[in-house]
Amino acid sequence: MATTSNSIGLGSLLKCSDEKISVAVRFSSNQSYIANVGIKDTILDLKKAVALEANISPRNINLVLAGQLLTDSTLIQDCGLGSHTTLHAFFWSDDGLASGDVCLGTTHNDKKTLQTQPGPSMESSSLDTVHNNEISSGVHLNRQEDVPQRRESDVDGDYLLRRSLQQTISSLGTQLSACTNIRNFSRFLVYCKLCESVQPGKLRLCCKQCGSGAFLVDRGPCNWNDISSDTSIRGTCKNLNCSCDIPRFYLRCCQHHEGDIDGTAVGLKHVQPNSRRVECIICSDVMSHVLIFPCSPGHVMCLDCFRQYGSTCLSERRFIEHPFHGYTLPCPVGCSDSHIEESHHFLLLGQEKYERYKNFGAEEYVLQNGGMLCPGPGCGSGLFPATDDRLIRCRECQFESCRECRREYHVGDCEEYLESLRLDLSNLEINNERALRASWERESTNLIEETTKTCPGCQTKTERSGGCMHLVCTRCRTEWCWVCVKPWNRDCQADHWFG
Amino acid sequence: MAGLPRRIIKETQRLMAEPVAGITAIPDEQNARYFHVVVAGPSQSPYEGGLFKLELFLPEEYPMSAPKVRFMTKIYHPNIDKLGRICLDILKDKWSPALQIRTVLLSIQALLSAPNPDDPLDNSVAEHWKTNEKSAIDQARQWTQLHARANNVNSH
Repeated sequence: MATTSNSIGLGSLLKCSDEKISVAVRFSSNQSYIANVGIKDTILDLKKAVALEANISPRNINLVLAGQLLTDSTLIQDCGLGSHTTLHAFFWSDDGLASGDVCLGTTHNDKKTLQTQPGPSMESSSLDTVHNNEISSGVHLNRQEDVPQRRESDVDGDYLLRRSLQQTISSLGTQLSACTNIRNFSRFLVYCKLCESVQPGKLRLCCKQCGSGAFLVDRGPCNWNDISSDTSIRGTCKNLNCSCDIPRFYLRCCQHHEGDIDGTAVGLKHVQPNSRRVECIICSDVMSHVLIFPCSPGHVMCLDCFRQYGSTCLSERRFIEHPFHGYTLPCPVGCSDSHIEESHHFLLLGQEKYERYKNFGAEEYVLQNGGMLCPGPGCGSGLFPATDDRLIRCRECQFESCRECRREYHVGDCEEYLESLRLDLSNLEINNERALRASWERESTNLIEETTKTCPGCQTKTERSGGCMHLVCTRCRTEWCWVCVKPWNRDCQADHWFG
Repeated sequence: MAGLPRRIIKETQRLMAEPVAGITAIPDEQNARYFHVVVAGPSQSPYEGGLFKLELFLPEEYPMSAPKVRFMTKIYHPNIDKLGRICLDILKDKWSPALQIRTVLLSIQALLSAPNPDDPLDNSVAEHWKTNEKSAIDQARQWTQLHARANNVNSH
């Protein structure tokens, strides 16, 4: 059987050679410039275009992508830019003072001096191939010198100024050499709510405090912890009024979406390109992208099987409630403390199931914490009744229910009330739509009463679709007997396990 | 019917190429989801020397749902009933798609080595086991001789 691929959009990374894109270059002063550049052009070409408009020297402009300075020789196409992407810039005046915003890219030259090693699970990805091909196609490099040297040559005169510059330059040098290549950023996969699919993510960052994109990081991120909210990565905010050294990372879909707003792409930390061509433990196929559980063997599932496994476990209520990660899916092999640690992965199940997942998660939280769900028609709100009264009133729908039998509130014994529900009212002559609806409700109630039995642990109406008489409640985990409607015991097992 | 999933093909190939000791599982000629299984009674157990026929069926949802397994050969065991149905959690709520035909059959083989009369399926067998283990084991051994002898299975 042929190996198939999960569909991952790489469209924006594969552009035809003469394509032009317009890029917005934004300085901290909120001046923005729009430049049309060819994707085979270099960052220096872009700087020249902006410099012409801004009436400054190209060498005074610094462009940043994802916390990294872009070197002049970097090709536009290697930056993973979409149309109208905003690059943050800061101005480097000849007196050594920096100002301004920033935010974009890095260069393939970084590869030689790459210090940060990608984590074991972040090794070469299928995306590398794409970029490597692009790089080999080359471009007219006007200047090959590296940035520190060039900067140094700009300095003359005053010793203090020189020293201050040298310090800055050396820090820039570190930043450049430590920078992870843009290719590493593409290893972060996202679920894009607009594309409704898994896409390579574009990693962006800004200053955690002032939000400025003109922020340079000391090293590039190489794993998910590095880009989390408690990242250990530090850097320098180029906003002169800000002294914050902590970056805030965020991800965008690699596809350009008009009016792209934060939150439309969410990172999928467990999903990775299947560079080692590992078989899915469920279907045995080798797929291009896989989900890896965080257990030490790193059990691998393809995304199709994850969808199926997730859907099955969701409908059978086999998700688990984890104190930190909430309602989630455990590793199918049963490895301890191995589960999906980020709930957005369940977007992969599709919007409808994701909504159901969120509902179930909320319900599970209520039930696990001693609450109950309102039995009112179409309600299901979580309730934490304060008193021991038998009457429970829902704050949302005002439905009044009985704590004992979870049916509508009634006076007297629950069994007698149930009998009264079964009274035949068909002889009564009330013929209007309301009565009809009431009779539907009654029929539906009757159907539920006929086809279900009530879990002796939590009163959940339970339908048995097959199998033996030994039921395990998916909500409260009570083991009970379908025949006796009592907790499962040895006699049940011996006498009527299979009916 | 849709083609056989790669997973089932691979499991079948592996079962044939690297069979588990004491277990054979051969797919039916007409239906690749139906397996003719023979489990040898484990040594040191009253089922030693017996060959037990089972049927195993992979439902359409497999591996998202568990295989259906049943003993065809009569067996005197507190966790297996007269109809050959088996009391095993991994065939029910403890099923996981990471389990395989191979692991299921190994679990069944282990169940033969370690009957659990405290979690019985057949109460009278369990009672026998608990009140007079020696006699129950004797009976299991007799049934093995009576119903599970090698030539019985082969001639079937």
